[in-house]
Amino acid sequence: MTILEAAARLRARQVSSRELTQQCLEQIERHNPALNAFLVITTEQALAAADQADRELAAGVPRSLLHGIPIGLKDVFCTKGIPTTAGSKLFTGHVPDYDSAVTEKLAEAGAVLVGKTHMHELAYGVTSSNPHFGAVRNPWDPNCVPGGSSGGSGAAVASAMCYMAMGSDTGGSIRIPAAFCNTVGLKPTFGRVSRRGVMPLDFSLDHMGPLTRSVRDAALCLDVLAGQDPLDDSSSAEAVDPYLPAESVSLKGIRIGVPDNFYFDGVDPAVQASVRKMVQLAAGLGADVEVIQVPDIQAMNTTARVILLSEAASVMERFLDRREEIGEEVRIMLDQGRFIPATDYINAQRVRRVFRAQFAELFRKIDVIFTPSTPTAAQPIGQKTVRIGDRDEDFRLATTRFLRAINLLGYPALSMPCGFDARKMPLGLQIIAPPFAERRMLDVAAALEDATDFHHQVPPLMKQ
Amino acid sequence: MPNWKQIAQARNLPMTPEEIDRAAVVLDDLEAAFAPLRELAPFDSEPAVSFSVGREGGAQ
Repeated sequence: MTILEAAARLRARQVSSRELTQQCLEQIERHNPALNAFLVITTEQALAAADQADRELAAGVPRSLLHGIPIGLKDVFCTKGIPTTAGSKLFTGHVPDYDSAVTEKLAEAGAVLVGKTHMHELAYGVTSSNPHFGAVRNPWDPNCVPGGSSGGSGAAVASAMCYMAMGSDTGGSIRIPAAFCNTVGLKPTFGRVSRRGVMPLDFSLDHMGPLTRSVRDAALCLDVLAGQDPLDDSSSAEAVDPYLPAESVSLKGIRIGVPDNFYFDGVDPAVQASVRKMVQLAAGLGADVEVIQVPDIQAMNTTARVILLSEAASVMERFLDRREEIGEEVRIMLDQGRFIPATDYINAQRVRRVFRAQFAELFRKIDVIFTPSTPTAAQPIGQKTVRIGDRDEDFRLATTRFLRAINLLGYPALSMPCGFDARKMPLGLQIIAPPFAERRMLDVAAALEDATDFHHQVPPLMKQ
Repeated sequence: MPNWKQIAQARNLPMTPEEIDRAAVVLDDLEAAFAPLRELAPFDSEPAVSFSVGREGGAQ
């Protein structure tokens, strides 16, 4: 069931928030020991919040479409009185005395928090194989990673432990678990959703957004989350649109750009075929498909990595003498950041403007871009390289290859289900839009979702 | 390429020689990839991070 369906049933008094919450808590009890998707489960608070939602809904005062809906928060979102560790031993015992802006907005909307989702250590990686608190496992194949860094959020939504879970995305960390777990993952424009009260990784690359089981669910979450926050310097004053697509969406006149450089090089044939089919589907639904040349994405990824390493090192430098409390993979990247000269960081931020200008020019003739989310589906836990064609590639670099540059731009992007590979592992389509064009991007995605049934497929463990 | 070991020593980074060697592989690649990009931005361009001062004089 999606949030939209659950909200309709709540309003029709066919189900209560307590029942929805209990169902999610039962799913957590059943599957969390194997999947490790949640670090903290807030059973008592959740049931109390559900009862309050039921009272308010019975009185006919729905706060939003999320009112009474069970949700999860990645463990980077500060929660008053509930541990928040960013999946790191460094923050063991950290119980904030304040909520993040996202936590506040979701509570005001009446959402019911069932727990904090597990993640890659410090949100700095793509596997969610956490050296301190164990690996998160993919509901589609527990031997595989769910992606990361918001892996617990992807696994929790895919296995019906909650209806939505928030993620953070610095170089793909919402879109990767979305693609690997057959969920929708939405990374809004930089500044669209407040970062206040979120444990940072990179000041100028971090984006906050939801993972859900449908495009419209992601849209209605953005309706709750979007808006200017005067306490977040990077928050945008740009007007907020109504994001929820209509019941029926036309693609007539929408101009879809499909790159003929970079994005289809070195990808699994199943990924290539699935994304091409979505392009054909969009054309069949009335969209105008245009072959485009994208700017140098590899150069953009390089520039983004200079910024990533530098900013992450600056955030975490104060902890780097506690080396034994940081996993090796993350520690190496934090160390690397300390070698980058300040001039390189500043030049990377200057070069960033050049690429943004190039993309702004590109978007004069198209509305959205279609690309694969990742070159392959999820890979086995512990595997550091991935074989694509006749090449072995570093798994982290391969998995972020199509995503990281979009964080450099700050543009909105989403990943939505688009098929399965030969192992029956999910694949994702990435849709990229220009700044603050989330509504158009969500409309396109909703039209495709309405014409496919990938999002209705559930992991094998849900059928047991 | 920069001498990463000397940089680590000069900055007193608490890294073992093995850790520096592992970091150096990535840093060499990144240095080679970023070198041609350094001059991509026009001479007078500003970095894409903002700093402004509000009426009350505080940084915003």
